[in-house]
Amino acid sequence: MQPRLSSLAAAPQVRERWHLIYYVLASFDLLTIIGSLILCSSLVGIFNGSVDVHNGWMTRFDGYERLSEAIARVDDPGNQVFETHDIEGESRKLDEHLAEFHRAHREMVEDTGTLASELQRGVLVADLKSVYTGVQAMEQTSRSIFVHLRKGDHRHAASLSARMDHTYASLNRNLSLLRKHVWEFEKHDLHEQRLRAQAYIGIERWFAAVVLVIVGLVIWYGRVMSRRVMEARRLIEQQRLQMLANYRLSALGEMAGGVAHEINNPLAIIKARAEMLREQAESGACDLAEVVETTTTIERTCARIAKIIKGLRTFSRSGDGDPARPESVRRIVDETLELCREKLRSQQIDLRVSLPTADLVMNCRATEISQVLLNLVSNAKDAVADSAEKWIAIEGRELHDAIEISVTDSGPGVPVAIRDKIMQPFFTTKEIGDGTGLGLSISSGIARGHFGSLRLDVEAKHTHFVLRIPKTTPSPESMRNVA
Amino acid sequence: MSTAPAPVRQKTVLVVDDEPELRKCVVRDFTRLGYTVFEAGNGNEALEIFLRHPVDAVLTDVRMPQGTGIYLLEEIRRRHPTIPVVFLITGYADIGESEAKGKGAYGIIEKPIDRKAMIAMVEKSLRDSA
Repeated sequence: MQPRLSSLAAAPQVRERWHLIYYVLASFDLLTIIGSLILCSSLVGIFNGSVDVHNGWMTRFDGYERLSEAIARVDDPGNQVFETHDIEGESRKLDEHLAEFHRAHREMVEDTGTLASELQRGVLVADLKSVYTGVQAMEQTSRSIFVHLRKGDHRHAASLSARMDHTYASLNRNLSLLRKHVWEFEKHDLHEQRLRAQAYIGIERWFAAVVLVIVGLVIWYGRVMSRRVMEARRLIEQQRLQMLANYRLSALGEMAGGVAHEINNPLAIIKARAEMLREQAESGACDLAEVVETTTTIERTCARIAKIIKGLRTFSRSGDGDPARPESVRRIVDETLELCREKLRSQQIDLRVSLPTADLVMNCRATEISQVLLNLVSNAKDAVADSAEKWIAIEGRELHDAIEISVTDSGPGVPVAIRDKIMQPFFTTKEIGDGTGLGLSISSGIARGHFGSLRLDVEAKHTHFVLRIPKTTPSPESMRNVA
Repeated sequence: MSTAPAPVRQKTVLVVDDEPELRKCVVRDFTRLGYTVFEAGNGNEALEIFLRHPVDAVLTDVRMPQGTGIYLLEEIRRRHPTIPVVFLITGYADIGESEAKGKGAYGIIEKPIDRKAMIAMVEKSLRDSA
């Protein structure tokens, strides 16, 4: 028969809906947080942009001031020449002031060329052009004044001076228009920046609201999940305890047949002997020697029943709360084997027990060690069922720091592929209903609870399990905690 | 055994049980009633006796090492279809009455044994097979 390999650990994982919802919420949360960060970064960009816009227009105001001052200076020589009468000197000043004007004008034209808005660029270029035209007119008038003064024509020079005042007034109006346009364009650009910032702040508020809602949902879902996980854990623990109880019942049930046989046989002897005794008494022919022999047999048989019941009682109680105490290994082995001797005998399995002549003493909880032995022997019994040669050997030996009890059987051995899994809970090679898959994991847990170990000796020729219990343990308290 | 019925005739009964004390009691009962009694501690031993001696009825335990009662029954049936075989069972997890009869057993006696019922069943089986 092909053995069934089952393990709860290998069961496919079921991804529940609430996992998916949680991941979706968390993803949304992450996206909105990233969005918020981008928006914040954009707001900082808008703020920096506003500062840049303001600085740009302040630079243009400065240019305007320099232009305005240069124009005022260009106007001076044509007027001051009537007071200084230094035509050549004023003419040189005019050239110098004109050079200043051209430099300031060029800078402003270049700066205007950097403006992003075509409208702004067009308006300012037109303003600068009209200013330039006005200055050109002023320059021509000034030079005409100098020419007339060199000729000594003061009348024409004076009339040209009056015309230059008119040109200068017109130029100032153009300058005021340029100043007004610079001011309005700055206001307009800053207003644009403000509108953009407000739009971003509006979006950011919505993002914040969405983030808050999603974070709230995540927290709420976290609570729901936490409750579900706790409930699941509680159920798993409940099932684990139920499994353990079932395992104990199953092991007890398995023993019941053998125990019933084991008890019913001596009961049959007692009954038969007692009936014979009564028959002798009733017939009046009482053979005293036979009476003694019969009663001795009855007493011996009663002791046999008591021994079986004691072993059964030892196994059936939990024992995990008992303190560890020095126990006779021989007694543990004998009492345990009483529970399965009959079953082994009926299946024609040769039971070989080998213990040292001097009894070994083990510091342990006898009930639990008995459970481990019974489990190992029960597994061995199943393992040798189809073997031509059927034997189970139990050996005890004393090491320097530990006591070892080993159970070996003549079965086919544990396949290499499953050696690592046999100690796992719920792993079984038996048919459904034949084994819980808990025996070896519980036995291994019991060994660890005694600070010892239960291992499969892979080097051995036959299936060879070794239970090793140290002679000394740290303290009874810590031992109970680990157990 | 003044209340026990007289044997039908000098017959041979084979008593098989791995419990020496119990076997001894059963053997003594049938010996006192005048039967020739053979005894064996397991199925294989019983089969050897059965093959060597004429046996009229077999009273056997079921659970025994080296040859169970069921194995003994099957071997006897292969050689002799009518010799009655009565099972002594311990009740728990052993063979049931219908299953035992299905396999060819005459009947079953549960342990602890009611000796009168046991003797009555073996004697009835001898009469029925005569």
